[in-house]
Amino acid sequence: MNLVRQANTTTWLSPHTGQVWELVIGLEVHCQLATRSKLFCGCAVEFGAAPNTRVCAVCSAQPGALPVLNGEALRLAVRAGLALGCSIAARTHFDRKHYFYCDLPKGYQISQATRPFCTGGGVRLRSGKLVRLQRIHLEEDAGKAIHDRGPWTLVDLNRAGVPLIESVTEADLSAPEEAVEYLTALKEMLQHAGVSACDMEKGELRCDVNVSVRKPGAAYGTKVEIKNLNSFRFVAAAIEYELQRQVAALESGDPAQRLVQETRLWDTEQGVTRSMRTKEGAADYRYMPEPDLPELQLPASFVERERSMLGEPPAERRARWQQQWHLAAKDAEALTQTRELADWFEAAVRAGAPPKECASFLLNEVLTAQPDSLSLLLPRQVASLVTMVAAGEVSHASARSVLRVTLAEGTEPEVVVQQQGLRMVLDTRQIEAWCRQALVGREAIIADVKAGKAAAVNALLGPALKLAAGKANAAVVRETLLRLIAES
Amino acid sequence: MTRPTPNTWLHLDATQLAHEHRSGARSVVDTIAACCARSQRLQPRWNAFLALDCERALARAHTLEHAATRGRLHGVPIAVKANLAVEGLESSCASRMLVGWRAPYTATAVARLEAEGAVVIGTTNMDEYAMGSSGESSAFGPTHNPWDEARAPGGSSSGSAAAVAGHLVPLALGSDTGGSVRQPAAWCGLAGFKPTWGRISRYGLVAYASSLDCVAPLARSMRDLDLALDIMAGPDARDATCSPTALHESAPFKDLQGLVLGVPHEWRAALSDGPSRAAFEACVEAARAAGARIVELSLPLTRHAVSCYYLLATVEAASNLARFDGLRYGVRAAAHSSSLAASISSSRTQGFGAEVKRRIVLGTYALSAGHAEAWHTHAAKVRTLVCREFDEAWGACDALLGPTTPFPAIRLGERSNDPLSLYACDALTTPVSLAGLPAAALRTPLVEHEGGQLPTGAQVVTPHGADRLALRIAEVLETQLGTQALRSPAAEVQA
Amino acid sequence: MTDSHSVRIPDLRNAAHLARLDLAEEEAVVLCGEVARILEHFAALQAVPVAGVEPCYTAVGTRGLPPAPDLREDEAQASLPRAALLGLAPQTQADDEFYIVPKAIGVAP
Repeated sequence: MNLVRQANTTTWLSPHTGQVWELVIGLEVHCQLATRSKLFCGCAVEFGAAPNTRVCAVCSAQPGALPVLNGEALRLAVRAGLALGCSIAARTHFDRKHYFYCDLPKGYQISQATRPFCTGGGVRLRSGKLVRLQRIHLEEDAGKAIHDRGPWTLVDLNRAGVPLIESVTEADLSAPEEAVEYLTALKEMLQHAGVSACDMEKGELRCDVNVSVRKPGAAYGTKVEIKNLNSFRFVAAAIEYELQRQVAALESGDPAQRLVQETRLWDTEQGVTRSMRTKEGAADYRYMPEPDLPELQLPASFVERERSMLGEPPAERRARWQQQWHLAAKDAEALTQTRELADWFEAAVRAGAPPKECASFLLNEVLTAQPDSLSLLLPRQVASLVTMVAAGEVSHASARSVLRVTLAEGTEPEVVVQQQGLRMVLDTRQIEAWCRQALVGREAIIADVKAGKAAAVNALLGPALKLAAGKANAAVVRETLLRLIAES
Repeated sequence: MTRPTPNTWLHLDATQLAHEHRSGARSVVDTIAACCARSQRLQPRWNAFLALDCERALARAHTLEHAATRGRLHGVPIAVKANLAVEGLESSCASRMLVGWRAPYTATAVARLEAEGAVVIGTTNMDEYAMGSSGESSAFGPTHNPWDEARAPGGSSSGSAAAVAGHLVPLALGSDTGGSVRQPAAWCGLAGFKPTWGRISRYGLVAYASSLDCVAPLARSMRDLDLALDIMAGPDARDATCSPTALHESAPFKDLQGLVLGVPHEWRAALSDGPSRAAFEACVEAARAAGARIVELSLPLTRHAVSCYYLLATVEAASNLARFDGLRYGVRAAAHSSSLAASISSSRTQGFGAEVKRRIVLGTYALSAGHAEAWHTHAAKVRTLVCREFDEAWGACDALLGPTTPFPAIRLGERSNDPLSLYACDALTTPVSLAGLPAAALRTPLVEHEGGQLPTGAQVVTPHGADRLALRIAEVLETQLGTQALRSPAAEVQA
Repeated sequence: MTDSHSVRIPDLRNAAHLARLDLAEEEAVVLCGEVARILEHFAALQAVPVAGVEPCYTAVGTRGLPPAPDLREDEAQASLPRAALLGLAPQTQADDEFYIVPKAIGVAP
């Protein structure tokens, strides 16, 4: 049974019954903070470290060990809240969330339940819809359990205690693509605020989806939580799958297919969600305030300092670039892939580079030359090169080779241009002289052009440029050739 | 200078012993060797220790003997409750669950004493995971009271109290959560001290009830307690609740002139027998004789302290003991390893004793969905009221004076089948614990009890942070009573 | 208010299960009976009026000694050597890289 998306809406029509359905989606995103050490101990946060080599008495929950809060984690968390427009609480505290599992050494997770450090805020989608945030809170990550290697379950505690923020939206999303747009925007904002690299391959960004369906105007349906989604593509696919599954179950009226509130896992290979083995009832986490960590005060000065570290939101930056500098939307997107790149680009423009040309040069030449180009160049060097090209002083082809030299040896672009004599000739008389020479013995082409076939002149471009040793602008040469032919 | 006879070291307090070691009048190695020998020989009698490491202690003694730096506890043998981490020593918390666990680090409080030259000779017996008031909840048999071996030394710091009362060591560390050092101090005729919560780092103290647990010393002199407090107190980067607030400096008091001591009539009324009441009245008289003004006041919430304490403590205990699952340390149940869940359950069910299981069930229930509000949250609100009651009391006096326990040491087995009757031992210590206040447990006169002589104790309670004041007052009272020189018959027991 | 203070044995048995205590039938009956009696005794606490009173979970900060004001610096410190860490575990495997535990069915709650 395939539901049909109704054009320009977030509703689906069931061809079977003629019933229209809506999706109700909420997202819980866990994001690993970019700190050097764990949330409650000094162990290093290091993806890919050998198993159980970043573990201490605290994060392995040895008897008698105590948690001590990482100040940078708190600062980054507050910054994340500000980036997403949230209100930061004046006072906050940690709570213990109890459950037993082999990757949770203390038998409880230190998280925040009753007084998260921030509430409110949200992300506005392109459609104008505001996806509201309910809360963001700080918590520690669990370790890793490996079930498919031999008769035992293997446990690695390197990740236990890594700092996370969990952001929870209201059930404001109505379609798979809205979820993807939200996640993309969230990821971008967190990266740009310096909160996290959000590298999903390293598990730095994880998403759980809550999804239910309902008839328009009706009460909320039974909600299902889907876990184990490690790409935005799978988020959309899982929502799509649930939509079909839940509507089919409801419309069938079959008691065996009755929907239950449960957790399901996304099966990447089969492209379906599967129910987890049922547990008896919902988990009772028995939250209680964490007695080992004092209540935190977050004074205005603390919050304002983080606000000053935020930088311009990437969406606003792109809008400004398009408006002020007439950048193409595509280029603006590409240049805001990371905060580092965006800052670099702006620095180059401030150093005098014409924005559009600079954007193009950065994207097409600098970033493609080698992976670490940005760390080998200074913005003002690129600015100088782009300015020369824009003024016609250096050909595009020459600029490419100058770039290579500067990357390899660090020599300033102007110096390279000088050393290699790459400066273009702008003297019109000189260009004319070359063109006249190129025209010698080319009566046939001259005749063709005079007869109206202007394109015939292109055959003379090569020879003319060769005479100019590449130091004449091709367009100017073509113009000059045509003019001379016309005048002859 | 005449060499002191080997056994007289038994009668010295830690301060004096350290002094003699530093001056060279006494050999550290001799002391430690004698101490270890005595502890080993008397171990079957009192069962004070769970782990004795004489080799380690002697090696350390040799190092100290020739050391250039000589700390304030130079060469003093100490015993440490088995819920304190000491790197390389077994700290089983008297539980089958944790047999064989040797901490990979040392508790801050212990490390600070060691840095001043103290020598840890072993870890002492206790009620399992510090849950008990008699020492009878140990998985390795109860400790016997050196004053009367058919009696309990008190709990949960039973072994540490017996070690000091039996003159095995002059100074021992215990922990006091609801009275676990003050109560054994009373039953064993010792000086004991519970600091302000947050005064001494809890890093390395196996948590029972985090918001109530205090590392607490036991000794035979108040000046030893003051020294231990001075060494151990202070901020610790590994404990976020440990305060940087400094202890007030003060010289010992000559008397109690100008001080007002409040005696809550509910505390006085808790004394169940004539001799105990007489012993406490002697203490009040001593205070008057020393120049203090005595005022009677009322702390009505005293009668709810035990309930309030046990509800809060068991909730935290159930939480703190969740880490004992047999996966990363401790004992894993051999059979039933078919699945993770079954393994965890088996290990815990087999590893924990009855009292621990009772408290875990109680604490889990009191925090569970549908019940947390009525039990846990309610108890936490009563706790606020208990704190307020003390706050008001400070408006009328500088310190409170009361008995430590309603009755002297019970006979082993007397109450072991009745948890509630054991909880009743804590009626006078729990209110102080709930408020996080400091309390000095002092020795009051011996009493005739069931055909023998038994020690009794009183406690001086002061406002938050006034730890030293409590010790100073207690010291004057003991001098006035003449109990500072109290020695158990065990002092004469030759190993 | 009265309902939530009456202690039901099934709730206590559920609490034992939540705490991963797998009590044999006899033990469960005895233990839960004891706990029920204890709670009935503690029920007297309910008589204390607490309207408008904030709960107190810790004796530091708002009352008692102030905690240390500074937060921990974000610097990576040395971890425990793996051999020392895994050496504390009740069961280990030859290659000694991981903790080994009985197979988990399903995933974490």
